[in-house]
Order: sequence, then structure tokens, then C-alpha cells
Amino acid sequence: MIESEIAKRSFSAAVRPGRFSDSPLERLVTSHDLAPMPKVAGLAFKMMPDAVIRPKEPEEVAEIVRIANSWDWPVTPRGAASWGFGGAVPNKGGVLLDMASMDRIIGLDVERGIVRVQPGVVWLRLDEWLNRRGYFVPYYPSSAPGATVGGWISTGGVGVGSYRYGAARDNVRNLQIVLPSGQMINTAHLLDSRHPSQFDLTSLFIGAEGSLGVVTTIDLQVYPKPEAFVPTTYSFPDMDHVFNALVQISQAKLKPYHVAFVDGNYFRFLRAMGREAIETGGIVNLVFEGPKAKVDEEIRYFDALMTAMGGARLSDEIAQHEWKERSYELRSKKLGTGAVIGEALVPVEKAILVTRETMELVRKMKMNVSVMGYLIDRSTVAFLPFYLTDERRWIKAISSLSFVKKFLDISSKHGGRGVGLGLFMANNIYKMRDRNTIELLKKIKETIDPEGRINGGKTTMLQLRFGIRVGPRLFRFGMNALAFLKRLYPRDRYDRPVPGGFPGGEHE
Amino acid sequence: MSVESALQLDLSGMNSVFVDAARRLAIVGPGARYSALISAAQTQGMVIDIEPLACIDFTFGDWAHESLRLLSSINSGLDGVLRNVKVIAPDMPYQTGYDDFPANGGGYDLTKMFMTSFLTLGVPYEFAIPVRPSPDVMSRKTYSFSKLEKAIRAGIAMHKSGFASVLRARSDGLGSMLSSGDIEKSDGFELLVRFEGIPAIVDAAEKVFDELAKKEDGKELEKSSEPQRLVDPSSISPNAWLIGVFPCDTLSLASVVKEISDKASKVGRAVQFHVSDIDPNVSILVPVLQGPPAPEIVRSIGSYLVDQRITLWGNVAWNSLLGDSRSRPRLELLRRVKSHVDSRMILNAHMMGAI
Amino acid sequence: MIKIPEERELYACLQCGYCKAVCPVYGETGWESDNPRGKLYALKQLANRGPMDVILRRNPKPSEEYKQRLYHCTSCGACDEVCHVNIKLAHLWEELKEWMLKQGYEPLEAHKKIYERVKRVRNPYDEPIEKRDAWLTDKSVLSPNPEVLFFAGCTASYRVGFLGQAVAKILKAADVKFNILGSDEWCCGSPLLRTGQADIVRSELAPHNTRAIETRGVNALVTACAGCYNTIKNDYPKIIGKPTYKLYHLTEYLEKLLKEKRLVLSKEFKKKVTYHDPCHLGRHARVFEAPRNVIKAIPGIDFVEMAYNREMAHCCGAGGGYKSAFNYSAESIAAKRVREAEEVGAELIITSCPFCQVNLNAGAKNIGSKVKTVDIVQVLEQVI
Repeated sequence: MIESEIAKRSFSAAVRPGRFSDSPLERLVTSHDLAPMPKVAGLAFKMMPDAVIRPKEPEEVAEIVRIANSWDWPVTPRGAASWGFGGAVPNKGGVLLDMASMDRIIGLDVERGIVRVQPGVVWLRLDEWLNRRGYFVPYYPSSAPGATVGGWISTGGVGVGSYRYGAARDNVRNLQIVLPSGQMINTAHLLDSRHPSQFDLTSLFIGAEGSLGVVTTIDLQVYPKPEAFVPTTYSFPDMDHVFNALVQISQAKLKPYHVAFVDGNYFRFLRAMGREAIETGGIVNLVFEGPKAKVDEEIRYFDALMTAMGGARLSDEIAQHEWKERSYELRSKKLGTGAVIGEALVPVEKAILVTRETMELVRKMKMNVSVMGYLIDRSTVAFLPFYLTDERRWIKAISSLSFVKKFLDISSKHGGRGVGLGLFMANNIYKMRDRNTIELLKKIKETIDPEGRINGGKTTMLQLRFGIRVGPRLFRFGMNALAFLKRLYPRDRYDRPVPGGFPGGEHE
Repeated sequence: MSVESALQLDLSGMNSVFVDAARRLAIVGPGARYSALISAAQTQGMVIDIEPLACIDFTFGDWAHESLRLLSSINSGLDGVLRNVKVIAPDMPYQTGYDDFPANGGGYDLTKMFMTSFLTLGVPYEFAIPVRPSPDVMSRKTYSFSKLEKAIRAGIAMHKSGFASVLRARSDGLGSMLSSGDIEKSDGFELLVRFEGIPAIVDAAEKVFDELAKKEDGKELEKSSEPQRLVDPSSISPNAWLIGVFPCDTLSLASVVKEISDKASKVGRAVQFHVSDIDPNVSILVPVLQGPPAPEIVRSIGSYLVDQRITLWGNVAWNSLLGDSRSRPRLELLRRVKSHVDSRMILNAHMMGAI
Repeated sequence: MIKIPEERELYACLQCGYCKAVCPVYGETGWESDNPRGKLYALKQLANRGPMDVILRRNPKPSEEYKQRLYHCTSCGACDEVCHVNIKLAHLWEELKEWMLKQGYEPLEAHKKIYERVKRVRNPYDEPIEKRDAWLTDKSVLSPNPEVLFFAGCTASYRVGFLGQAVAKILKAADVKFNILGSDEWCCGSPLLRTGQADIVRSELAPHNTRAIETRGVNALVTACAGCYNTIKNDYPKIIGKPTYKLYHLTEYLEKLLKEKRLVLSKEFKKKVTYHDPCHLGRHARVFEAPRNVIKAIPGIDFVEMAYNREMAHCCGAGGGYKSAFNYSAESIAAKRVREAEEVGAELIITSCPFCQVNLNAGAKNIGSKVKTVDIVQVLEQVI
């Protein structure tokens, strides 16, 4: 006890006054991320940090990590905690580094188009800031109104605009990292362009989910604001048509900036909430940007393609609205009170099969699901099904979580894979990489973070309290048990009358 | 590991090329040549987004060893350059990325780290490279400028215009020996612009680029709609010595070029410059010394570049990189990674300053 | 399980953090417990409190600390605006404050004082009720047959009388027959509603004010205060039902007068100005364009928008009882807003809320900025 008090005092001294807290309230509100974990999960992991610290400068972060080393406290960096895999959630208590306070945009090099930011900068704020200076950042997560730069790049960084501009790895020029030893490094030569130079470590740390160090500064490639920026929306009779169109788009000679799809259920959910929404079997949103002459031609080209595939172009007003709503996929969450998002990367040509099997699974598990997603590159669709659940009835809620696992199984069967590991899904690594490579990755983690100081017990392994490791078999067993439980319950119902009928919804 | 008993691995036999158009992926072996891949891709109506520096026909093994690559402009709909490398290392085999998918999340991505480590982390035996459908039109235009600064300004403006293009520059006049024995000097630079896309977009781009070139007093030289020969050894004169490949801050490129020219002309030699992939931030400078090799000039140019903190890309002879303090922490980390794949330091150990 | 109001709204929270990115108080303190999603999370844990918490050694309970957090809020409504799942946050915070007080927690000292004063003398400034209309020095401008009643509000009545005077001058110039309620005008109740002390508004203030207005037989009411306008427009109907009169904010009324050519702006005002949307007028009452149209009608004016305007306007920091309880922080928020005006080159911030005006000027002073904040009527009275 006394030891921990002394430790806390050292931590407190590493930052300016008012940036350290060990109040129960503060620790409670930082002990979670987006995943609606039941409290019983707290038995498996120590999710409450012992202290919450808000550093302002990279040197403070380095100092904190050094102190953590001397006191053997675990460290968990946190951005906006808007992921659902537990990457920003402590699993062994310790220090919670709230990086959201490092939110300065340090500067923009207008000649080179490189902006330097601290990790807590929110993507939407960055884009707005750049807009005022004639630039824009064309790649970001759909959660841009809340997500931070440090967080997204740590989870791999594919999202809006990746179809044209690539992932975070293609756009981050340099990272300043505080290693688990407390040493600070830059991952690339400061002068680097798109060409990585010698011994480039930048892309090693991107997607490392904060398990190899704490990101303290990021240099991003940004671009001059385009002359034209035009969203378009096409409506299709059903999802089979939507996916056929996506395959054609992925094989086309030109590339839109962003290609997204949303199924008809999404709009049905909105109507069930009493909101106005279009009637459709499924939509595809194509967004174009660049010089006006180029954009006009691209729109013409894809209009012909979409029409040939059975699509009807909707009004500009609807297209603009859909574009604005890109960050609001879960508007209908209130219908269930809870919603859980699954996420998987799937080969484009297999998207139809994955959807069909997912819908069959949904039917069996008596759930209500909407499917949406976007193209990441010519081979890959990011699939984001979400289903409505009732968080207040916990057994239904956690048994619904097994849907996520089952959905991933379907994706795997068709050559797809999950997107992240974090804490909760760490065992997915066995589905993503071969055994030899996994060995190497574990060794890399061990070598860079021998004590498991920063996010230890995640990403390359799944470690419970008291150092218990959970292998893939045990994990599978647990998830199957939960799925079985869920099936015993009647179909999900909502206690709100649904005008016009709603599949699966019944009046109370 | 002493240098005398070094073993050289000849991978030229592993030269298979397989283009899977349906999966938009090409699988090549380390001995395959770039020209073999682009012609295989062409037969299936595909292209790749890699271009060789100074038009040399490299093998993919060379590519991994020397990082001799060049990317198309980001606006061309970059499909990514490399998905995955399958590697055999002395202690274990591994893959750097994921078979078919973009590298994101799911554990660490080792591809770029591997490709920029001069084959100290293993021997690649298979590369997965994305391919995309050939554009309808590919054409080339060359503008000539009186000075490099103008060419660069025009190039940067073109890069920022939002149209897809690949931009390179080349000093015009080869500084060839005149019959009098003097060197023909010329300050002029050519900007080589490659367009691609559907005809309407290419036309629009051309109009914009013509304007941007005119702003810097550029003159159109030639326009051809034949596919650009990406492998064109004739662009470098036969009696020449490639000094190296230098990523250089674009904005100070002109002064660097002038310095190098001056050093060379002081000893009566001329240098031809290629600038690959002009980018507002860093452009790749490839100086080519005309005439027979001359170590003293090369060394003097080398130390100048080191002073300018312009480091070399891929040439084994330069130790400046290893001594660069900025690289040391990274090298440290990489040595630790290496210890897990090559604990006996069999592969190119000297590249990590292990000697 | 503790019964918490609006439970469904509470459970809808996704924890996405969109609200966090726009919360002005969080922007000041940086603590997760100070931003909307943090407050909701803590409450949800409270609602779910059970034996598992004992095992895990967590102790979520409504605490003094939590109550403080609820009051760390300027009621700007930005969270409501960006909420991913459309939780009616603006309304929820008021409900929650009221609920906490009902649990037996005490309001903050400064807010308690406001309650006591309003109960006694019908205004939060502790001024005599008879002096309510002292701000209008020349009562001859009042008309026995008014077409519109002017609701001055407590701040214009007792603190910034020159604003009321300016309104009178403008209405006179437009030949508008108006009258006022005098000491029959009680506090609209806004500061009490925003601090969870709504009972007195429901039982006394709203019924009285409504009666006072309706017995005058006038069918139009205009107020220059953003807080009064929002309260009468949005809160009163929930308490006393649909009003019999039409309510205008002064800027809406002026826009109408300009359209009808009853008001003519003849003199020039050659300054570079921007408009600050008061939260209660903008986000809460959705009046964005009327003030702008009025400003743009001023001859010679050079109008520029700040980067964050209309629904996304940044709060000045004064509302929700925040300034009275946490003045230092409120002025710090204001200073940030002033800097935004400087960024677009404005010499003057025009607004339409006396609290915004006071707080922005205080913030400007703290950072030595030359940008002054004035009410729209102060500009108009110079150009009629």
C-alpha cells in the first residue's frame, strides 16, 4: 500500500500539476472502451487502472514510462478509446496514459504537405484545421468526429478514403515513439517521402496496437484541397446487386475516392425509430474528388457502370446526406439500446456469400442485423455488420457477442479475416498469420518490450489476470457456449412499436 | 563472420512470374526481372505500380536488397506496391504481411522493415505484388526548362494538381565530350511526365500540365502515345558510372545538383542527373558520372552529400549511414529483431555494422 | 438497481466520444469524467450496481464528486448536436441535475443563492422588484395599445440597461407600438432550469409570466435575451402548454421589420465584424440566420464568419450556471472564442446574449485582446 502511494507520487511529479488522478470516479470512467463488456469480464482482467495521467509533452511520456519501469507498473496508452477490442483498456491495472490531452497540431509544412501532430488530435478537427489552410486529410476512420490520430494508426488505419489514398502505412511519414525502455526514437529518417528509407520502422509500429511503444508525435502526408468533391448514391433492388456492382467497381480502370455500401435494413431501423429514411434494397455511395474536369469524367464513367449493374442514381441531396452520415452508422442504436459492430475484411468476390451466410446465422440466432462496409482496395471489402441488442439484459448481451466470433468464422471460411487483435480478440492472430510468423511476432514483442510494460498481454497473446494465458481452443469453447445460450432465448424484441412492420420486431 | 568466407546466394534461377488477374495479384520469385513481370502483366491487361530508377531492369531480389524502387504518383490510384514477402531466414521462415490483404492491424507488418534492411533479415523467395487493369491511355510528354529550379517548381505544381502522373526529370545534354575535348555544358533540365487514364481525363490533365509548364517557361518537346518504355538502358550513356541513389530534399535539389556539377567540372568531368519521382518533399537524385570511373570525384561528391545530411540509398560502400546518429536507435532495434531470425549473423552482417 | 431518469437514453450511449471532442468544459480540464460520455458511463455503472462491483472492488455511487461533474457543464448543447445516437443530451443533463438534487444533494453555493434571490425578488441579482423597469428612463415611448410586448429579462433590467434603452430606441425609430411588463415581469427561470432547480419555475415563474403576458391582450412577445427566448420557446410549452402569443427573438423581429421596410438603416458602420451564436439562441432555439441577415443589412459592414459557427459554434463558457460557479474557467473558454475571432480578422464580435457579451469581454481582457464584444442592438442604434 505504502509502496503504491510512493509510486503514485513519483508519477504525479512527472507531469504538471492537475494531470494526475487516482480518484475512483476517474479510474472508473477510463476502464473501458466501446465494447459493452459485462462486469464479469473484470474477473478475467484488471480493467480499472490504478492511476490516470494526462501527459502534455513527449518528454513527460518518456519519464512516466521510466518511472513505470522502476516501479514495475503496467502502462496502457489511451486515445479516444473508440475501438471495441480492448486496445486502450488496462488488463493489469497500472497507469492509464490518457493521450487525448496531447492534442496540439504542431505545424503544417505547406511546401511538402506534411503536418505534424500530437497523438490526441481528433481527425475531424485536423481536417477542419487543414481546410482553413487550403489542405485536407483524405484518409481517416469513420469515427473521425471522435477518434484520435494516435489511436487509428495504432489499429492499422484503414477507413474512409483508403481506396484511393491507401492505409495509414502509406501516409505516415514518421513517428516519434517512446519505447518500453523509456527511450525515444523516430521511426524513419525525417526527410522521408513515400519512399521509406533505410531500416524503416514506421510501418512496424503502425497497427502495433500500442504494444511496442507509445506514439508521441506523428508526421502525416496531407494534400491540397481538391477543386471538386462530389458524393453520389446509387440504389439497388437487393444486396446481390450491390455486391455484383462492387466487384465491377473493383475491377474498373478508374478509382473513386471512396466506395461504401449500406443495406436496406439500416434504413428500416431508422424508420422504426420514427426517422425519415429512403426505401431501398441496398445503396452504394461513390465519392469523387480532384480537379473538376477529372471528377466530371469519373462520375460519367461510373454512372454508366452503375446503371448497367442495375443501380438508380439518387438525388444530390440524398448523396450529400449519406456522405455526412458516414460517421453515424449507429444512429439506430437506441432501438435496441445496445448495438455491437462486427468487423471483417473479405475478398470482394466472396462478399455475396459472406452476406448470405451471415443473414442465415442471424436468423438462427434470432437477431436483427444491418450490414454495411466499404472497399479498402481492389481485392478487399471491409464488412461491418452491426446488430441490435439489449445491454440491460446482460445475458442476452454477452451471448450476442459470440455473434462477432461466428461472423468472423464465416468470413474466414471465405478467405477473409478479422481486423484487429487488441485484448479481446488477441487469439485471432492464429487466423491471420502462419505459425512461424506468429512466433517471430511474439519474439519481436518480447525483444522490444521484455517486461510487457506497455499493453503487455495483448495483441501477440491473450493473458488473463494472474498471468493465465488463453489459447485459441479455450477461447473458441467459450464463444460457442455463449452462442448456444443466446439461441435459447426468444427473438430480440424492441419495446417500441414499429410502424409498417419490421422483421423480428413485435409490439409489446 | 569474416568477409573472406562469405557465401553468395545466386537467386537468378528462382525467376518465376505468375499473374493472377482475378485476385489482382502477381507472384514473383527473387530472380525474376522487372521486364518479365510487366510483359506477363500486359498479356492479362494489367499493369503494376512500380517503376525502375533510371530505367534499369532490376530483379526483385535486387529490389529487396537495394530498395531500388519508385512509386507512381499517389493520385494515380495507387494500389500499393507490395503486399507480402515470403522469407527464409537462417532461424525460421516467415511472411512479412498477409497473403492477400492490405496490411493493417492483426499484428505487426514487417514488409517495409524487411525491404529496407538490405537483406539482413532473411532471403525472400516470393513477392506478392498488386496489379491493376491497364489504363486506356498511357502517354508521355516532355517539357524542357532552362533551369532545374523551374522544372522542379513545375513538377511540384503538377504533383499537387490532383491529376495522376509520374514525374521525373533529367538533365538535358549528356555533357558529352566535344571533338575539341571540352565538355558540352548545359544547365537545362527536362521534365518527363507520364499520364494515364481514360482519354477525357488524360486530355484534361495535359491541358493543365501545359499551363503549369508554361508558367515556368517550359517548352513542349515531344508527345508520344506509345507505352512508355520503362526499361530503357539507352537513357544512360554507355560510358557512365552510377554514383548512387540519393533521396534528397526537393526544395534544395537545385543547389545540390549545382554543387555536384561544380565539383565534377573542376576535374574536367561531367555528370548527368536523373531525378526520379518528383515529390514536394523528397525526390530521388541519381547522378551518373560520364566517362570512366573516378574514385576521387565520387568520394568528394560523397562527402559533400554526407555533409548535407543526404544519405545514400542502398549502396553498400557507404558507411555514413551506419554512423548517422539518427539511425542508431533504429539500427539497435533492428539488430534485436535480427537476433531472432538470424542469430548466427549469417546474412549480410556488415550491413548492420556488426563487424 | 437505482432508477435513473431517461434510462433508455442512457443506455443508448455508444461511448464513441464525438461529444468529448466538442465539449468546452472538457476542453478546459481534460478529464474523462468532465465530458458527456464519461458522465453517462459513470451513471450507467451506477444503474447497474450489483454484487459484482463488490468483488471487483469498484464502488460506483452517486457521489459529491459526481454531482460536481454534472455541474461542470455550460449547457451549450454541442454534445446533443453531434451525438451519434441522438440522445437528447441537453435535456438529459437538466433532468439528471434535478434528480441529483432530489436525492438530497445540495446545489452549488452560487446556484443556491440564485434560487433564493429569485424566490424573494424575482431576479437573480438581488435587486428590488419595484425597480424592474427603471432601465427605461423615458416611459413616454410606451404605447397603451401595443402591437408587441418587450420582455427585457433580468440582465437587461438590472445590469445592462443600456441594451434595453437601445431596443427602445430602435423600436421607436421603426414606429413600433410596444409596451413592457414592468415589475410584472419575473425572471424567466432559465438559470434555475439549467441548474436542476426547476420546481420554482414550474410552480411560480412560468405560470405568472404567462398570465402577465396573456392578460395584456397582446399577441406578440419579443425578447432580446437569448436565455429568455429559449426558455419561453422551448421550456414554457412543456409547463403551461401552447402559448397564445407569437414569440420572437429581437433579431427575428428586426429581420421582419427590415423586410417590411419599417426599419431603415441609413448610416454606415465600417468595421470588420463577426457574429457569435449564443448557445441558447443558436443550438437550442435554432435561430441562426436572422441575426446574420440583420447584421449584413447594415451599410458598410464587413461581415466574416468564425471557423465554428451556427450549429457548431463554440460556447462562450458562461451558460448553465458555469460562470457563476467557475468564473475563471468560464473566462478561459471565452478567451478561446475571442482568439477565433482574431483568427478571421474581426475587430468586433456581435452577439445577442448579455451573458455572452459580458463573458467574451472578460475573456478578451484577460488575454489582452483588442476585440470587443457588443450586442447587435448597440450597433443598430448607431445606424438607424
